[in-house]
Amino acid sequence: MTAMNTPLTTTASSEDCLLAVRNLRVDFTTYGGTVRAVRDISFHLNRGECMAIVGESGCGKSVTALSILKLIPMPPGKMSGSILFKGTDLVSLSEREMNRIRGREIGMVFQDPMTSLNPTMPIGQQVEEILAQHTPLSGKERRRQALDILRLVDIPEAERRYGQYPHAFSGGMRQRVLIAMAIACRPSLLIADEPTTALDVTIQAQILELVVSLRKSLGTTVLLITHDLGVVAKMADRIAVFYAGQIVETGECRDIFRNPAHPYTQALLSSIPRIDATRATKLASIAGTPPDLFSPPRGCAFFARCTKAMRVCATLPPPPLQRAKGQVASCWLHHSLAEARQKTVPEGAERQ
Amino acid sequence: MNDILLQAECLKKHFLLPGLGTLKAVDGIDLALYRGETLGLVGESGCGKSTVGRTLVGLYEPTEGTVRYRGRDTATLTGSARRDFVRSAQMIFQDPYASLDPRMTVGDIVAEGIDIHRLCRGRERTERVLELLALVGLGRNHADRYAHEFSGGQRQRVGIARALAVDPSILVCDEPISALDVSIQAQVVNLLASLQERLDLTYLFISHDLGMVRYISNRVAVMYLGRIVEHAPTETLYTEPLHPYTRALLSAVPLPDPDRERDRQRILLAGDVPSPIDPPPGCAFFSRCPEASAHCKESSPSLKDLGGGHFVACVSR
Repeated sequence: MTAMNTPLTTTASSEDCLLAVRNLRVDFTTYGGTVRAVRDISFHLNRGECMAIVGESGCGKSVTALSILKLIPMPPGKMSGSILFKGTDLVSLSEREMNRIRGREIGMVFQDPMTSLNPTMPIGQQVEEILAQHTPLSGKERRRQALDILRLVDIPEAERRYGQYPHAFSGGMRQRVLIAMAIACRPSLLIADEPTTALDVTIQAQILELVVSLRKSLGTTVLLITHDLGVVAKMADRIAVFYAGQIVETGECRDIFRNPAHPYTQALLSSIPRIDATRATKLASIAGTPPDLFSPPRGCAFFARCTKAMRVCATLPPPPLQRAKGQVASCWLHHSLAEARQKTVPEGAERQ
Repeated sequence: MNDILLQAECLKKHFLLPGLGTLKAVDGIDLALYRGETLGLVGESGCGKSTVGRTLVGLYEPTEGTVRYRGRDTATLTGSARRDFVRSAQMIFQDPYASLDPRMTVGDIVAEGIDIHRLCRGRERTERVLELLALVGLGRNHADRYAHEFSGGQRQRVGIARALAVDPSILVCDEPISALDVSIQAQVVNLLASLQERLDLTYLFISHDLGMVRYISNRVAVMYLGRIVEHAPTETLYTEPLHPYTRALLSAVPLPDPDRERDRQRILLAGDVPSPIDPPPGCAFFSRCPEASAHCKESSPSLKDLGGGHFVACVSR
């Protein structure tokens, strides 16, 4: 079992690996102190896959997405670590060089379709703008291509809609326009930050189907950020579960849903009521709230809320431990010594 | 269970929008709240579910139709009967950040209803506030703090304590958990469930979260564009949905289960919900219905009783 318990670093052959984030840290300096929003995370994305980052508000998932494109304001933000995209470290690139990657190599879809579009510009022109930035196409060709992209994302009557302003579009249609803009240059990576959170469930189903079909037709790699485990189950090949600025568990989608290894993942999965299950006696809930990232705890970030916490969890942060093939959880429970003598801390004792 | 506390009959709430037309937020619904039950009210944004809640507790005056409290038309209530109704039907709001006055201490927020209804004063009032805070899982030391010092889940607990302060029998919970994180949602819903048992409360639980509604409700009503399209005991609605909209809605919710999710047949609805401003006559769901026929366009179907408390408004059922 010792081999199983050796700490792992994210490795993947450079052939398949599109993006490798290593030891990323993001701090924000504020008047109240320094917020440690992302605390030493490493993960990778293989070509063609869809990876989901799951977590609750404030766990650092959006900051991670924004840091990949270096869209966090610096200062007050401060980034360290490396973000290898096709072998190039994005962290060391200049703003000029980043601008050639944003939109062309990496597309991004934001959460709020109501505020992400320019209200004073017709939507066709907003799509054209991306093409003007990154391609040598003539005005006429740009227009033709922009129309093609709008049809690709299923905007009905694209010619007529082309000259209309965002206010004439519904939430779902605006999200389609944002997706059109994000894929206009056929980027190899699409980052979608809560793309359906602001939408109704029937519209969400339409947009998710669109992303699935675009992935099939364009072969785009997708990094999906969401808090909705249903969306994850539908879309993702692999999952990274975030908690308090760290990755607590990664693995294949199916493995994590079937066999969650981290107590946080387990608790999260059992606290959502399902539409396909009859009423259980009591919904499992996670007591307490996530830790304050101004002064993150010394040991495991989930310690104070964990029902399986041990003494070691309070003082030492758990290393990523392999639990099964491809499934890694940062939890002392999976250490060989813990399996030998699992002794839980008595209720309330040594908790913060 | 046959004790009807609150009832809506042909309830309509229209808003006049100058220059735009009439927004028919609620366009003729019938609804009964039985004592001790939880009625789930689901639907997408703009379907009028919040307006129903607000009209039922008297925050809006109905355009047409009546709201009956214990059998009496609330529009005709005066004096102490009116005060009794206003006190008995309370509301919990969606946004725990916007629904608490930032300049009042939590203690004063909770006691506001007590003061308005002159339920108690002085020492007794303080005791009552502390008791209410304890009831929703907050501590004595929280009473002197301000809303901004609390997390979302704690603020929602303050909102619940405020609603409970006047000893109501009906709580209209308008999306009480949608602003909260998953792990906190379960805490608040469990609190609501235990309070219901202890205090004999009746809930109207308005939500777009179909999983949570299944968990907490005894009966569920599905709204679309100002009307109730289906209405049934929870298990019936989720296992044998009959209205095409209910079916599409349930099939659109992604399940947290990759195996089931991958080979699931989905009813994808085309297009968006039409505008509730001067909606066309006929079935409200006509424009998106996969089963629509010509006569759906002409008359709007009313709820048909299929027995067992199952009602559906569709001509082909």
